[in-house]
Amino acid sequence: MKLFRFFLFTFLIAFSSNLLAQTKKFSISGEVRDVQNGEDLIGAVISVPSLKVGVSTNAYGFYSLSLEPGNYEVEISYVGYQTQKIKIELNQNIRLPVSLKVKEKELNEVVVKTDKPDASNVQSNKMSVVKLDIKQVKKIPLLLGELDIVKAVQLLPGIQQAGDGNTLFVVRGGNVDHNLVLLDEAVVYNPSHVLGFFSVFNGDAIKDFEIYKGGIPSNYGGRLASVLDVRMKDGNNKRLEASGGIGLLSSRLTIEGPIVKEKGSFMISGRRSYFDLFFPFSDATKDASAYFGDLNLKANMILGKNDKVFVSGYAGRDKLGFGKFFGFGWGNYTGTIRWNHLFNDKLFFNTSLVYSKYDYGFDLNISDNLNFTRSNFINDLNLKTEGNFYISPKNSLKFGAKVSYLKFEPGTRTKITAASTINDASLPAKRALQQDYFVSHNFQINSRLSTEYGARLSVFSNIGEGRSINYLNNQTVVLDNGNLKEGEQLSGDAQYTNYKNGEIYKTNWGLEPRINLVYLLNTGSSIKASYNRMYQYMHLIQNVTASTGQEFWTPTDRYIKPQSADQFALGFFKNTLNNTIELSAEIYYKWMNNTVELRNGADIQFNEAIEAQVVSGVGRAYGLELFARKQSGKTTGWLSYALSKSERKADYINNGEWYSFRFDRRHYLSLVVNHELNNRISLGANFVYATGEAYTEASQRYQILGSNQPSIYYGARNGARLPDYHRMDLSITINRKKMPNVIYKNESNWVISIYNVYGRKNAYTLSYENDKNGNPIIQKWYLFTFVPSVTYNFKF
Amino acid sequence: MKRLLYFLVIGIGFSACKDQITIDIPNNSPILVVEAVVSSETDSSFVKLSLSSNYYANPNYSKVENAVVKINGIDFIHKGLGLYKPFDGFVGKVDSTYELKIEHENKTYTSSSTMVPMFRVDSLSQKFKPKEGFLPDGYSISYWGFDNRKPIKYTYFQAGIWDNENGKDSIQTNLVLFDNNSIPLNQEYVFELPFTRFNSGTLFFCIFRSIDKAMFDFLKEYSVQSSRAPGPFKQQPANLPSNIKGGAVGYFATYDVKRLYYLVK
Repeated sequence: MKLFRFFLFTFLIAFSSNLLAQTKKFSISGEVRDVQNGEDLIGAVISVPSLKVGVSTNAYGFYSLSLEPGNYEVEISYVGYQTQKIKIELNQNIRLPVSLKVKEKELNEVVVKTDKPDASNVQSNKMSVVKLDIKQVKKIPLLLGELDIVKAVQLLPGIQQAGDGNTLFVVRGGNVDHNLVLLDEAVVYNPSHVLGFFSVFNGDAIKDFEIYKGGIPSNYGGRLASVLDVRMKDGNNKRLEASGGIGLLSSRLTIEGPIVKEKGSFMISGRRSYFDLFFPFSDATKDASAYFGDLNLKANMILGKNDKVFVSGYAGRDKLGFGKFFGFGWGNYTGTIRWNHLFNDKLFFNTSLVYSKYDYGFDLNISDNLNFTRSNFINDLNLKTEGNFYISPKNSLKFGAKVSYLKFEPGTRTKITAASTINDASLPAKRALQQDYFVSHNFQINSRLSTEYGARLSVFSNIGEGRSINYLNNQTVVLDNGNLKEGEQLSGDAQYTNYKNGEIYKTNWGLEPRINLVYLLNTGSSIKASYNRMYQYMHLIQNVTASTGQEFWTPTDRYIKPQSADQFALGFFKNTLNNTIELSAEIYYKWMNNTVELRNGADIQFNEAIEAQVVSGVGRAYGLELFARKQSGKTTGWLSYALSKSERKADYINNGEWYSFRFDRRHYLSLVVNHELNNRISLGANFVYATGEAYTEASQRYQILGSNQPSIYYGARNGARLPDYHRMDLSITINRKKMPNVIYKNESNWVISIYNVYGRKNAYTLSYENDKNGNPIIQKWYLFTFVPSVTYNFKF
Repeated sequence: MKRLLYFLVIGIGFSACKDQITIDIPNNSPILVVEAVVSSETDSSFVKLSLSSNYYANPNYSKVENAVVKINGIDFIHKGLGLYKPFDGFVGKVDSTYELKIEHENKTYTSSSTMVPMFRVDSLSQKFKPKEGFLPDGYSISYWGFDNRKPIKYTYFQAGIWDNENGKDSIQTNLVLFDNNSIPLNQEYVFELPFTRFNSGTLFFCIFRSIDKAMFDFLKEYSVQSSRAPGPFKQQPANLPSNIKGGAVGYFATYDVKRLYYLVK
């Protein structure tokens, strides 16, 4: 209630002060774009240094700044681009589109343009958010030379990989499924290719991305831990362009160009792996097949002064198999139609119709009468509208609503041949309707203190047609002799409760307050604080951590409660050496409720009674994150360190005691350095050190069923640690030789990289075995030691 | 499936490998290990008792020879090496419930199981199959079955061949578990045993055992326990479930057994 009063008081102060001054102001508005290709620049800063006010462009490159009449010098800056200063005489509303040019050393002498980075990271009221420049990511040495934004964010503090070389990640002690991964606003339900070793994001098709670890604005919701918001390129609206790369394991090609010059553009980008070509050379893999492919498409068109439409889509597919006997595959499909409309110079609206689908299929074809194909999928269709109201430079509102229709098909099994003795069967679909409403107010209280506060209301309703299982005493799980087992299902007519088409049978809702505060100590340093509550209504059910495609999503329902998290964070931010060095320190505490944990012995394959395979738990995570980054000059990169702890607790797991989260790592350090030797050659290096993963240790062994392989009696869950993890990666990028004073339309480079250069045998897994004398031993499995790669990139 | 995952991991990593490592594991008190079976086959019921050991200890498990063992009040007498047997000619009966009671070192362990009748297995047949993938050519074996039991009922299946050299059955297909939830009920059906090829003259045998849900859960977990060590492709390690009350590990099972032999022509 106190928080509500604070919000209300702040809101009233902000609006009353604004209304008093409203009549005297004019606006400067427009879009900030890249001069070479016309791409909108997201998060560019438009400021008036003399007034110490500024705004940043929204996700569509639009900005609006209201000022009293007068003469001003407006400064427009963006990371990696030359800052522009423009003098204006403001006596009416002005449309001021700005085109920025990428920093190039030979242009440094232009007087009106500087390359001094801004201090927006210190001054903005965002915290726990990191944005990486895609050009910077391209210089980071990565596994097998594949440009991968997810592997780049895993080098940031508080974000960890879920296994060596894996693109799945955990953020501040959250689960893998606590991350909201968006591609042009569409949810990507499985962001992995090939068991998680590659992400679905083709770096050539990506314009911009940022990741929120905390302080999550109210326009995002649905996951507990983080938001990875990825935007595709719009396409070059000035000239036709092609770019691509040829690597050891995959190749990619992107074509982009104008539909109507400077009014509309398109982009098509495709990628296909071919590492399965190596399989025939080994007896162990000669019958195996494995490949992935994906396609990104986008087109946009400016429809006059106030309207712009975008259409974008993604299709990705993985196929893995072993001979004719079995195979599996999965695919993500997304589609987004967006309409930007400017009602006036201060009111910007975006309306989106978004579709996402994730499917998984598994084929088993052992004999004429033992064969089947099995599949499951999730469909997500949503309509979202969001408004940005730029009241004044110190005062803006963001508000919107979203309605989603979700359909979960947990499984369909079909015979491949008529003679198969496996029956055709399907598990009943689950449907849900989710409504989200959000508002946030960005307000500069005084010259030092500003805030962004707001709230999100999420309402999740399970709807028919469908059914749910009824259990004796409503208990989905029961304790039997220390083992947690499925509850007893009622029989006969009482076994199921059936729901008619469109019938709402269960509704959960939650109010999610969010607030960020920044207090400027001076222009180069600040203290920030944030609090956010998040609700999550759909849950990933998986019995292994890696992405094998067999995992599936299930909704909150009669039995499975929504997960929720509350996170507090406090940070100190400082820029030094003329803003070329960013420093930050953040502490956080997160509490999670109703986490979904698989019970011991859970059976999740083709099982309608999923609620009987899981138990509800709680979690807590806290830590300190330090970050230092240099983004300009010949040497760039960052150093990050996280000291953290993450735990879980659930009835009947580990005797109800707290236990370490699997990816709880006390220390996690990463160093990323890139150095440009000259115009042609740059060198890159990464170093990562992390405490070993938590695991459940063998305590005793015994012999049963006459087997020589002993059975294991385990100790406390995740009570032991794998050996520490560390590695160093190196790369060299060699650009095409260029003659002075010659303009080149074609660009190319070679990237040679080595992953884990000193061959550290990082534990990937352990196995309990016997040696040749029958004595018990423990084996450490490791994967990527000294993996060299070479990639050729081109653009013309 | 698991095999495929490893192939892929190896294929992608180029250099997947393993090293022996040593981990300090504390000493803990040994736990009683129970294997108790009541079978519908004559003189096939037994109870085996042993103790667990520290992970790194010499793999000679201590046998328990001084326990008092009863099933439905019938004494099971120690016959040596931790094996306890009932009187000669003992036969378990379907649909009967059996209560196990073990007393050892001032502790009492109990369990209960009901013998579920097996489904009908009418006959075995053979069919020649050419070489297929990693399978050589040879005869595959199918069984003809009929099941009218309400789902879900569980079966523990083993198969093998008669070993002429050693003069005994040699089990080749161990620990196959299935239920009747996905097979056609109340009609005859034929099922070809997967991944098997036999030559003419081989004496093939198979054993079907009906089991209850507790034994099914135990065997299912037992069959995947080696994959439960830590790792991204592994399930969370967990102790095997047990239907023995009192703190022991192991199982008490009742089997209705159907055993068939077939000479491949």
